[in-house]
Amino acid sequence: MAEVKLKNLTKRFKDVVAVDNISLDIEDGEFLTLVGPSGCGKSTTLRAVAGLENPTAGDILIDGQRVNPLPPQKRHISMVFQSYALFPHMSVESNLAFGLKIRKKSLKHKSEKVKWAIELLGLSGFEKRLPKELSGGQRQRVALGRALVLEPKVLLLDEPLSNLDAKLRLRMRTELKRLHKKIKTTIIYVTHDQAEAMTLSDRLAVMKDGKILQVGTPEEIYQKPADIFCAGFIGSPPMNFVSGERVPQVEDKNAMVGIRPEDLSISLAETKDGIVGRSSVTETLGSDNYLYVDISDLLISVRLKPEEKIPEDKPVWLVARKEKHHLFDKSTGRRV
Amino acid sequence: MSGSIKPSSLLLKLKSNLFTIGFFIPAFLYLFSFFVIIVVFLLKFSFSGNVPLLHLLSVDEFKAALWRSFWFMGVGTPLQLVVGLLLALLIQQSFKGVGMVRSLFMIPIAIPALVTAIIIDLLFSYPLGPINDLLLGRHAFFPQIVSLPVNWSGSEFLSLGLAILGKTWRDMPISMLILLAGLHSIELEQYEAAKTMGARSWQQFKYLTLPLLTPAILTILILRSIENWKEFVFPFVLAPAYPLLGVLIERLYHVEQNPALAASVALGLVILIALTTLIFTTITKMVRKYLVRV
Repeated sequence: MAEVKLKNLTKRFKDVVAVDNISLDIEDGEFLTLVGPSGCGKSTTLRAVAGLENPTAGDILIDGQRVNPLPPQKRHISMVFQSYALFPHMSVESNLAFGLKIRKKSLKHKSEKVKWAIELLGLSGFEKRLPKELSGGQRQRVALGRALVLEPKVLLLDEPLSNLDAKLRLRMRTELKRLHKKIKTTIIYVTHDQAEAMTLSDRLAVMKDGKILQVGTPEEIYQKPADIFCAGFIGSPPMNFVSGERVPQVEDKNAMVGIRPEDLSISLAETKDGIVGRSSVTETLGSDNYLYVDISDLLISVRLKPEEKIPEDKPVWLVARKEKHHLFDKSTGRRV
Repeated sequence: MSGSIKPSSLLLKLKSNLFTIGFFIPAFLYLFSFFVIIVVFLLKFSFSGNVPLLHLLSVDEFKAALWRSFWFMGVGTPLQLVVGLLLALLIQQSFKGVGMVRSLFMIPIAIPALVTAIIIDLLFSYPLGPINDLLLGRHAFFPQIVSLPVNWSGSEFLSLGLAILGKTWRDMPISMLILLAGLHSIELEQYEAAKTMGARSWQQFKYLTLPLLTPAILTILILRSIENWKEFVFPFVLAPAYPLLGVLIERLYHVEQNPALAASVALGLVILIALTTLIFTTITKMVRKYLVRV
């Protein structure tokens, strides 16, 4: 277990700046997620921590030690790849033991660790199978086990769940969270899926265009997004944005107002300070329903309580309590 | 499953698969004419002479040729594998002009083997060949190595060595291409995973590249060893005084007019090839098993 510090880290590929001067402190035993759209530099950051990319500038510290000049094997990290990168010619057992074999561990140590991983990840009975004879979820667990048997100080996970189908992804998400509780290793997790980031992480760092826009707990980022991008990226369906001049309660008419779908109340009768629109379609999810309301050129999503029924194609009035408004500067996008 | 198939159902099966069977007929005829007929005649010929197959080893000419062919195959096959692997690893890298280098390495196979063999023969001719000139120090840029011209074709070791080198040079694109295809099928992320687990370049080669290349390596070992066992052109041109089995067959048939003995030698060659294939397959599988164990 260890803390990881990134200091003014920059990575350039020819003319492209993949990671732009980011600094980040990850605490010992923390589950930190780098989240952002594809091409935002999150994977490059992870690969730089792993030692698979050389930073153009800046420092990476693991446990207080500057690891920039160290090759991957000297950094006490383990990494799980999106494709799993299992060795296709080796059995589950051999895959799990590979890192230990390279480190010239004793046969006893190897078989103990392999047994431990097999039990931890529920792979018993599959020891002799080849990766191609496993299901996606099992492969994913072998990849995880292969990383864990090395007892890394830092575990790096690069979109490990994105190749699984939706149902399995949810299950593995829970398993991963329970696993972290059990082993308490520092984990840096990369994903483009905000739901994954929210549910798994102690803290998350939202990235865009090589920069970190906000770091905080899932609640902090959800409740107080630092800018318009974080506000729109975290949360599903995303936050609604309306120009300040259209919202009667807002004084700063130059601001952009963000309101989450669950903070809006809807009425079929005219409401004080309400914005009028036309109800369009309803998405039924079971526990929640979302109604989309047309207000001239915008489509606003509103969460309905299950018992709430709003007919489609009728005039409706939307209103949100003032303290639920998120105000952003129109030009910079920063929170005001 | 019941033991017997009813004739009516067999006929039905035949009928429904008529189309598929139709596609196999040309291949079957081809195999039959070029394989079955040849083997039958070979067997017939080889048992018509006065030297039965098992007594071949008492023929001195055969013993000497067998020994030379064994060395030709035993040195040439691994050499062609190693050279092919080194070249494949080299041109797999991305550098400026790699496309040109790749095409350049394809040239040898475009030149007829006989032409290559004759050029080598001319280069190494005795006593006044370009290579001898070089070794005698007749060019200012090269130091003198020997004081008397080397008679390449007069020495068994040197002439067969030249034949092996010529064969390796000409056929290297084949091994190289097969291995290159094998290398391309290995994912980059597997190497990265191995790296994060602590594997150095040498260990990545030993535990990833090598076992993942075994299908390609085995293909090369089998193809090259068969080729080397029955090689004719290079030893025929470069080492006429020291015949290999392939050259011996030609000599027995054409010069000595003894088709029965030629057929016996050829049959012996077929058996040797089958044995070698078996041995290479076993060894390769064992090595792979050793490399992927826990």
